[in-house]
Amino acid sequence: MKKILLFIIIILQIITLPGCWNQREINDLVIALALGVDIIEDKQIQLTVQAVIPRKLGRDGVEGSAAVTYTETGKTIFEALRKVATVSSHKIYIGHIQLIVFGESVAMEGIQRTIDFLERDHEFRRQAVPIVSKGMSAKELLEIESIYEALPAVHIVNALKNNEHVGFSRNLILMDAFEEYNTIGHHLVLGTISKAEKENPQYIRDLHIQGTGVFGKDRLIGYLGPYETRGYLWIVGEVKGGILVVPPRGKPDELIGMEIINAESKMDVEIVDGQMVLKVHIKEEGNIGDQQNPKDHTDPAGLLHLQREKEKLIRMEVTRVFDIAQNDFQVDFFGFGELVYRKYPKLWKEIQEDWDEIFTNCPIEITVEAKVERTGQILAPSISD
Amino acid sequence: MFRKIIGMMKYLKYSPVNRHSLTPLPEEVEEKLSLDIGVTKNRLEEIFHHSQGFTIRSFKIKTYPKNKAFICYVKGLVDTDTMELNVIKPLMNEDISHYLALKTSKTIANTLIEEIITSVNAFSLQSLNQVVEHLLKGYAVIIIDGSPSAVAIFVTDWETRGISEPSAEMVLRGPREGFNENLATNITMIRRKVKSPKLKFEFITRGIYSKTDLAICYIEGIANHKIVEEVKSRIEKINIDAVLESGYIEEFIDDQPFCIFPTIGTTEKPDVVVGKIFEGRVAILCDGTPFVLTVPHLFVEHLQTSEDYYIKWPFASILRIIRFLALLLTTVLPAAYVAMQTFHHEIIPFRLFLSSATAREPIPISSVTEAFMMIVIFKLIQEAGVRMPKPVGQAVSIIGAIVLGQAIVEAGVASPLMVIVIAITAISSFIVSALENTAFIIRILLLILASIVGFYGIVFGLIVIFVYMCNLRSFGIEYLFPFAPTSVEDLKDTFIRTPLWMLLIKRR
Repeated sequence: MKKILLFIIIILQIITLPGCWNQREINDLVIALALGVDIIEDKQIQLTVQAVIPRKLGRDGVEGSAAVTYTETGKTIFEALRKVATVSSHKIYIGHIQLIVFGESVAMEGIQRTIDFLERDHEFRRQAVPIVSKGMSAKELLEIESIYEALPAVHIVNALKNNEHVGFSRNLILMDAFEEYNTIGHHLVLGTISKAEKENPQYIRDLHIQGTGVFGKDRLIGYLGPYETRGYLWIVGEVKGGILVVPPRGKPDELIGMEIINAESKMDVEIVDGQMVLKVHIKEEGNIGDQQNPKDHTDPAGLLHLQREKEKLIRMEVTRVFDIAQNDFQVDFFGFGELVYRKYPKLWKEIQEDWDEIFTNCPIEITVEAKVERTGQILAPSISD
Repeated sequence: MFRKIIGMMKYLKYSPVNRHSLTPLPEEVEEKLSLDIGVTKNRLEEIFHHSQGFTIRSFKIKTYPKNKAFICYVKGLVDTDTMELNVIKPLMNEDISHYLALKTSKTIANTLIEEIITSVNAFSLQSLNQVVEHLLKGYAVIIIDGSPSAVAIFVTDWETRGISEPSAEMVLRGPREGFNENLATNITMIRRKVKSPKLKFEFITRGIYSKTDLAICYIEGIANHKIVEEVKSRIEKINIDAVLESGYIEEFIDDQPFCIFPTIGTTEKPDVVVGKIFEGRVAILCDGTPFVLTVPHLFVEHLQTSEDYYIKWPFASILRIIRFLALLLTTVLPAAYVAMQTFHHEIIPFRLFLSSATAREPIPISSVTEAFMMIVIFKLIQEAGVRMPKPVGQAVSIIGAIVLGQAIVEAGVASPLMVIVIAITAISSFIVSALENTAFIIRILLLILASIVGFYGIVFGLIVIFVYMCNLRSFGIEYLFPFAPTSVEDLKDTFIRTPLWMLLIKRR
């Protein structure tokens, strides 16, 4: 009898003790793909949810997008999200969210108000990709359809991922974004999406999915173009691929495209004669990808020349972005502050408040080491006599 | 109403006792054979009244013309040709009275056995009980007027099934012979594989009416004699009317009668039995069934097959791991699927999540109900396939596989993913066929837990089952033996089957 009683108690505990007793069938969920946050008048938050219509997925003959957007406003993001459920057929499920769009308005205003929910909610997916919509609202962006994919958000996430092959945008997941946002002496840099030519883009192909937005504290302070973004990625060591176009010996207009295979960087700070010096050492390895010039450049002297040209190009990109950081934005978004904090913790405490100002006056030492590894399938180009 | 239930409960409670008292015990009193052949004949006819097949044939023994005699047997149990040739013919034709005059000290029965009857097996019986017993075993018995003993002659021959490949234990490599229903044949098959006097058979007869012969088989010096004694004592305690199959014995000698795990092994193959007795186990053969019991039976034996020892060890090891995987899949998969569908959407990869959302979109019932329904439908098809005559059985599997599997998806009652999950579960359950029913119970249990609390329930259920298994014993040996308690030496023949030269003979 005692045993049976004990058994019943244990069984009761299994049912009552687990924290999230949350049984829901998949078909009782509205699966959210993307969240878009904007600020409208009266500091109200406008939340746009892009959700899947499962019925339209995987069936033959169904044309067009399988996504639907719901927009609601609220005083906080959480309130707005709950309001969405009043117009959608089921509760919104955010466990599989792919994309977070900060509208330009909310980015300019400060993302502090909205970012907390994303971090606090237990269901929210940390692998989602946060981006900033440049020159348009998040709602506008999420209502754009994709021709290729049934789900526009998936298309955008894939396109951001493909930027690894050119190095024009930053592919950062939410978890890493939080880390960067929280780290001392660091500022957030997020990828951006903007309109291409059309005033009212209808499909994702009418968008520019490149460039980055730089945050000072929680506020967007400026945008970097694609090549400036690559300059930034060189410094923080996030270049994973891309094409460096350099002129060969003698013929500056017959260009050679060099593929970036591997890139590393090492950032450092050092106090030289009482002056903080920022140091960046970049190592790059790559192959010859295409060549417009009909001459053979695979001799040692030719390769050496190509390496020098690559180094020059990388140095140019890096110098350009440093110039922007020190003169235009006047914010250290590379994270040199973190290095100072680690290397000179006592000094950091004194200069913490003024670091961005000190940063603008720091001299920079850039060293670049570029290599040509392979030349593709051929050495000398084919020539027609 | 309540009174009725209580009354039924009372009946259940007392029924075993009643049953024992209803069973008349066989007459223990030994009845001497009468010297008067007429009395014996009447007595036998009285005993075998309405017992079809009892035959009496009177004849005269040429050597003893004064003594009347008859031979009696049960029709169908004996080979009449042998009886004619080896018993009746010499008795009626040969006259050795002139030779016998020299030695008068012998009884008639002994003379017949030693001088006239040419059968291999003949001996004398003293009591009527013995006569009846031997008649029923298929002996022919000669009763002679004026003789206190009768002569029993072994002429048993009944129809048996030939040796064939057991359909439940197919192998790609290895002996294809299987036991049949004849105990003597089965013993011979084991004996042929172990040509050593150390191979021992001990006979016990169980069953008040059936008088079924059981043989306990082991190898002296390898088998632990304590286990042999334990087996014998447990079998001797069995008090039952009839033993029709070794399953009767299994239920009586089980360590845990209410356990869902089989703690006694069964096999139809002589090579498996020999392998087991060489590992120090004890085999129990039962007349009338090809299924031989082996004890102690441990959990790890469900992962082993005889074939593992006939093919090269790396392949055998892969198969062992596959079998363990199958056991895991067949018990956990439906529960895990339901848990993922209803609780843990986050752990499904995004693309799969979308396709499962699409698949589930038209389904009107919950995942748990869906899973239960499919498991039950599968079990129905399986049972129908086994019970049906073979040609109909094929029709059943066609209905099951094509019509039901496809139609159920097209009708939007179950999702295609669920059909896949149940199919994998079913296929896996065939791999560990000896544990199939156990796996079914665990599957349902875990499914219920998973539907209430998700993965938490599955993990809890598995822990409970594991603890339960740790507590099981099979003839005193821990059920999870090489794992818990851990014996590194014996782990060599578990998930990895190390080469044969590394495996020592186990002496338990």
